[in-house]
Amino acid sequence: MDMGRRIRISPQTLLLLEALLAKPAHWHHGYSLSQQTELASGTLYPILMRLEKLAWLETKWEDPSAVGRPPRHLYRLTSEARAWAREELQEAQARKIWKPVLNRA
Amino acid sequence: MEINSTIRWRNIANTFVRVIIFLLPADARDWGRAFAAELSAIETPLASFQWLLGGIMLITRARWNQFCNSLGRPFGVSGGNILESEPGIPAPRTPRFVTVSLLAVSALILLHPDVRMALQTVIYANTGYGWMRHTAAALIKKQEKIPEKSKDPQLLALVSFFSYVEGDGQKLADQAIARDPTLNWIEYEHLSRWGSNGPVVRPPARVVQLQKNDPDNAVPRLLSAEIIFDRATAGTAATPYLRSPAEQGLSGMEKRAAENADWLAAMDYSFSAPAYDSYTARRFQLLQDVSTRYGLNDPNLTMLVLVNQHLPDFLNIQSYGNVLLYRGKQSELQGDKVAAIADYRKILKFSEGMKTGSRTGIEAYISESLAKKALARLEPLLEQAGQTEEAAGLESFWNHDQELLVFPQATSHFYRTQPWTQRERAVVAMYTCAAAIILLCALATVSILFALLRGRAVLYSRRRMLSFFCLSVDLTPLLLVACAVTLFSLYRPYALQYKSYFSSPHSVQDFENLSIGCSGTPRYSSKHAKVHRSDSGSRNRFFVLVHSDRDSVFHCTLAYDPFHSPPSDFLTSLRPSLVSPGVSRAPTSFGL
Repeated sequence: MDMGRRIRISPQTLLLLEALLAKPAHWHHGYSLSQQTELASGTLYPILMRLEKLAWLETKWEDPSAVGRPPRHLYRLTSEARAWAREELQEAQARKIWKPVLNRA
Repeated sequence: MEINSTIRWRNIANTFVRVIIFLLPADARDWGRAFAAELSAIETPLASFQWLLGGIMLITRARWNQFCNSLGRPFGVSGGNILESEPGIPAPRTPRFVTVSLLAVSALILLHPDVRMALQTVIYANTGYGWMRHTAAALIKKQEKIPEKSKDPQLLALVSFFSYVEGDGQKLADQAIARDPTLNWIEYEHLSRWGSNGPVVRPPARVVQLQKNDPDNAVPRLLSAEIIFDRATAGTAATPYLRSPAEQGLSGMEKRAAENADWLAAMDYSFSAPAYDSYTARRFQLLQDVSTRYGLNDPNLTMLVLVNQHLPDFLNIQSYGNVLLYRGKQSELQGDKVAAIADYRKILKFSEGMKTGSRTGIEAYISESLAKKALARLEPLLEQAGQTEEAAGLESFWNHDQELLVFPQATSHFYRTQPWTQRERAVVAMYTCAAAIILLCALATVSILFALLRGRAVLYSRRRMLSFFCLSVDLTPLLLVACAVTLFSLYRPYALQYKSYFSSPHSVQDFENLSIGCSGTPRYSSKHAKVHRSDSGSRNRFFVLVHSDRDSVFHCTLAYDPFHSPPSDFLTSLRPSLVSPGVSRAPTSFGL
């Protein structure tokens, strides 16, 4: 796995980073991320896969006994990645190729 | 109802998801399960459907990434360093994108028209008469697709040469001549054909008409004489070429013919003709016109047209020549030098017409050999008569540097003793490349399949075989490119030479070199000489092996199959070696 390599940032990736940074310590479900960012599943999951491969993302499965239904997969940014993500968003905003879309907590 | 619908929809979605997970690469299947797990949180079928559509994109991207990542790995290596993964199991070393690129380059070169033609002619050169049938069939099929009204007479005329179904060729020829009377010379082609049981039926009316259409030409006149000759000499053995009638007398065949007054008259009429034209130039012009008009670019077709040409029966000509020589000798012995000189001059006049009017090496050879025999008798007589100028003129006309290669009476084994020419070496290289390409294509396919299966346990015990195929995966693409490039560069000069003939208006005069440049592949003359055997018993005919040697015009050898040798053994023993490219398969057509 490529640890911490900077990624090619697309507008869709910036959207996702913004959503993940809204509650950085919170574990997110895939469907809720899709709804927040309005990204289709076919766009969302490749980004998640790439972020995970580059060690920006940590993932886990829900505890099935805790939820009482089939477990879902959870995602959040790693602690180092949160700083990188903020840098990327600030840089993108400075270059005027992106502006915040989601409300930050 | 609604619950049933929801359950049904859930079942469909679950099935779809299972398919998505199945289609994902192995390293992405966990993500597929994560993707599938979200379905339980999606409430509406529409939203579920939209979610599932994303799975298609997921599969596409995952597979594409897998493909791109695999390009740098050899075939059969799944991931990681090839030296670390699956240690101890042989593996190819060449990245697969290199292998695929080399194979693609080879394919592009092999698809080049000149290379395809080179492969085709090499294959055809070794299929006996199969290439003739295939080439003729392709032409016939092409003309059948053209609407009746649009068929031009020249195309019909050309196709009529190759219609081997009895009667079909004649019908096409009649149609061609009806549309264009200037094509009436093609009648000679159809009247001089040989079938499996001897010459085709020659209606006298057609023969007469042919002679009327071309009154000054010796060739149609010879046709009448040949008909009589065949009847008169049926059952007799052919005359060995190297006999000298003046010294040894006439052979049985010649005696039989000489007893037939009709034959003598027909041959005298033929030898008196002002001109000689076996229609070679017109035949080639026809081919050139039709090829240009219909975009035919097939050296095999040209070869077929040239070598299938029917020429006068040289045995018939030689027999009459020998009769005249013998008669001349008898006249000399009786003191009648005037009659002797007349007979010898008759031979020389005919030979001169044949030499100047013909286009093929064999006709030049026959005319020269006849003339030289007559000249040997005539010169002393002219000198005795004080006609030294005429003698000197004849001498200079007939005795020049052209070497006539006469094969002595065949021995049972003859092997090539001359050193190889550059052209012959090129031909050998072409053969080698073509064979190598066919083998390498098969080997590359099998090797890649084996390499892809190298992870299978069944192959673990077959390491040597696996090693061989893994090495083959690395090497065969390179060798394939090398062979394809070599074949292209070897054949290209022939292709260009061939194409240049079809753009040149003068090429019809350069028949010899056209034949040489026709295909560039060797024709094993031992396969392509033909021996006629009549059904009436032990009659053996001459057969002619025609070859080019040392970049010169055709030489030809005449040989005689004395007794009872099976044709194939005898032929094989005569000429097992390669001959130069573009050698005519003329023996089948030289009317023997």
